[in-house]
Amino acid sequence: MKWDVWRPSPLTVAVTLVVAAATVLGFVLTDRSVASQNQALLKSDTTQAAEYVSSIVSSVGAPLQALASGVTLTNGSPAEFAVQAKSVAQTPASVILARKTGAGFVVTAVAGAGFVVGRSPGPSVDATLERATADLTPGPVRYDGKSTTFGFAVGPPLVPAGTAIFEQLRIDPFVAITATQGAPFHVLRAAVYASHGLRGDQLVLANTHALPLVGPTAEASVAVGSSRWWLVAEARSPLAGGFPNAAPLILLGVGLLLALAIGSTVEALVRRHRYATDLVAERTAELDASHAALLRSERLSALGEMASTIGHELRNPLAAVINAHFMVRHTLGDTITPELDGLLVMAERQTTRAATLADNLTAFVRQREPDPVPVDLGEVVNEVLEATPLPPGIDVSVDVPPLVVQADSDQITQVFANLIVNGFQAMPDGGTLRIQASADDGCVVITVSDSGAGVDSTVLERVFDPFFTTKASGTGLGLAIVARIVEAHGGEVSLRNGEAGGAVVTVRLPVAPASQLARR
Amino acid sequence: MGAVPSRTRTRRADVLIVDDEADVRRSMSEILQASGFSVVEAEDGDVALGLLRESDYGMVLLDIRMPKLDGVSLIEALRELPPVIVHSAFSLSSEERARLGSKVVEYLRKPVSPHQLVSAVQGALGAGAGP
Repeated sequence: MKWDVWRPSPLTVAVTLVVAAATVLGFVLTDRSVASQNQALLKSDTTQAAEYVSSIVSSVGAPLQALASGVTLTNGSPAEFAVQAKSVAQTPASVILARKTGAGFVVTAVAGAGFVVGRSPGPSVDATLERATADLTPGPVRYDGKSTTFGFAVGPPLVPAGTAIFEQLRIDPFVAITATQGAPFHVLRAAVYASHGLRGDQLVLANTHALPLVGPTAEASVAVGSSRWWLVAEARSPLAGGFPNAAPLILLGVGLLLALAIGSTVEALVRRHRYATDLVAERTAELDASHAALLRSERLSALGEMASTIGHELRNPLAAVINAHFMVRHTLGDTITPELDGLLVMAERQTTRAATLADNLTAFVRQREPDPVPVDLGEVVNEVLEATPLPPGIDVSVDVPPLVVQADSDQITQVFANLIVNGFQAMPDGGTLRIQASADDGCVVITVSDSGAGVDSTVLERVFDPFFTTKASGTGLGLAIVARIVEAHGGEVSLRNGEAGGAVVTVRLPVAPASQLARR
Repeated sequence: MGAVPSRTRTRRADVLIVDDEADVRRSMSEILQASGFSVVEAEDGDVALGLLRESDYGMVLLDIRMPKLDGVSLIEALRELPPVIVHSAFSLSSEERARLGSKVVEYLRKPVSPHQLVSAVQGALGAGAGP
């Protein structure tokens, strides 16, 4: 079960991205909603502020209308006007009475500074007086960077035809006056311009120097007599309140944390699932392997039982037949004919072969536990070679030093007998059988090599299987018995084809079996 | 051990062959007789037990797996026995061999060659004669 520790699963990435995307969407929608709410409140406050400014400006008109009544009553007397205008014309205001002549308006009376009796009030004031009516008529506005000059006129029919009154004011637009204090100005940064183009030189009033306003703004028109000024404003702080304004960010933060938490949980679950799946697969593979091994072991065990039974059952008949052959030969004595002798030799040879088969079959039965005693391998090899007839044309080369191992003497003898007979049988046309042994790290390594044809590579894996044989007359038990005995001694056996041809069987035996070491 | 008891009992035969297989029994009997031994046959452990209680034998050639009384039980049933050669299709475990102790002078696994058989019987009789 191996996977990249740091690479999240696609499911984790997908879930995290979906939650994060939903969070961002929620953030955008909430933010827009709050912005829209803020804008609505700003618009409402701005409109309210504009109405307030409008009412303040209108109040400027009231004294002018009172003056107009006086002018009408005194029929335009400059002296009377000058007296009455003093109460109106307090700094920073000036008030004039003008009369229309052929060359425009001429000042006839003045209260305050900036105008001279008998002279024109100037072209811009002149134009205003020209269009003055009973309504308050705003004159030109001019902001020179320090102060703003502006004025209002009233004309006929409030005053006799051919006359008009003009009040001119000069203020610092940033000085907090009543109009720009109090609600709703305290929550706004606002400025009043005389033109809709919000030109800097048309500034009338402002409660901030940060002009022009750059934030989300709202505009409202300010009614000034028959004309209009414009109020533009932005909120000093979010009008909807601190929490609603922070809500989108809080939502975003919480949502992203939630995305991480959900992603981590999904990843943990995915990894647990993957671990469990891998574990199940691993255990299943192990079970399959052990089941296969069990089946094989059961099959071998059943085969072994059957082989053993057959082997044992053959022994009594074989004993009787061998004895009978002997008695036939004994009874005939010298009277035996060559033909009968030949037949008897054949019968004896085949009986010996059957006896060998019986030996192999019984030897294959599940071996009794090895009964370890010190065994000299050199002696065992010599004994086996002495007891095994050497076929014609075969040489045997033995290089086995005196090596003593703890092993079952009978079983080890059987191992060498089987390997040597196998080697002989692999060389029907003669050759050399080499038997070598050497000590190697707590083990002895024995090799038995023949110079025969070797083993087909496709069946190399099966040569130790019981009843597997490549020989026409073999039982397929010789190497199976070797493997069983060697494995019971804690050793290993393998067969390969030699580089110079022929088969090489290698047996590796521990000097002392592990089970025996553990016991002692 | 294995010596002829001091009581005055005559030796009935050199060899008592105990085997349930008639052909094996008969063929061994003929080989041993041809080699000059006197032979008595028993077809199972029970018969052999009776024979051994009645008379003396030079040695016993004993099969192990037999109906009624098997070879191991037969040996254990008798306190005194002539030398025994076990002759069986089965090899005995080391525990079984330990139980039988020195009453058994040799173990032969069927089939054995007639020469080996005669030689083993000779050896056993030599041991039984004792000094």
